[in-house]
Amino acid sequence: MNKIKTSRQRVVLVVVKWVLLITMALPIFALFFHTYGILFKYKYQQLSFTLPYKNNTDEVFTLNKERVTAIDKLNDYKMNLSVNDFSFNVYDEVGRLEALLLDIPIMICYIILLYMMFLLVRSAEKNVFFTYKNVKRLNYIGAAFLFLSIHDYVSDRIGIYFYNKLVLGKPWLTTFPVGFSGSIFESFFFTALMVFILAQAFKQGVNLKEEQDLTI
Amino acid sequence: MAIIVNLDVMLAKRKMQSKELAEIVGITLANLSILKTGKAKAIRFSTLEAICDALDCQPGDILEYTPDE
Repeated sequence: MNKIKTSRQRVVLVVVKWVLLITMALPIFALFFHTYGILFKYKYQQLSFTLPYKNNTDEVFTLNKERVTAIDKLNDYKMNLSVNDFSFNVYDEVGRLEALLLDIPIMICYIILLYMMFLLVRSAEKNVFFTYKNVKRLNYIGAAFLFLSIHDYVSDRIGIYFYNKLVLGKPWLTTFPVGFSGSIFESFFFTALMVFILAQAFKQGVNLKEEQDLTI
Repeated sequence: MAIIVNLDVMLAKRKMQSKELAEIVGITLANLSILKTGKAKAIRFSTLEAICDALDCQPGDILEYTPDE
């Protein structure tokens, strides 16, 4: 069995492990603050729109009468709607729960990702890196990335729909991105594919190691 | 596996203990037991040579082929 010899490798593993442990706390904190917001009805004051597509007409950026009325209407409903390139949030006293429901799967994904990575690092410390368990963990990481990318894309679409409906008044205006900006190419989709490929390579590595171990 | 390792038979014939053979050949007892129980996937020529040397036999005395059903 190969032992980790250099102190550098040991330092890297320890640093990565602690960074993972600390970052693992972040989604839990986020969950806590969400719950806090729901319980104490903390309100977001700002109303912000960021256009998901920087398109050719300046008209979209200027506020005409209709649009001002639309935003006033939003204020009446005590709703905060923000749309940007990657996320969609509706916040009001009820909508906060919806925001939480949208965020919970993301948090679960991040916790899975970080925990699996932590387990991988710990197995590396114990010198038992090439195991079928680790292949499974890599597959879980890939699945989490895939889910994140799909969630990203879908919530993006929903955000654009609501923006079009409430501000432009044309809910089904086609705003599918042309080119790479803001498209699925920018999300975790390709990271997920990469991790799946790595998991397959890892599986071959495990097979080779097993054969090597059973060669007398 | 279609290949059967008859190391036990050969050891009994030569009245040698596993521990003794492991020491002569220079492999661990754990590895020798893997070989004897048929879990091994491959055997190095050097190991085979050392075993044949220690037991004073041919590879055919240790290894046997029976086709799978």
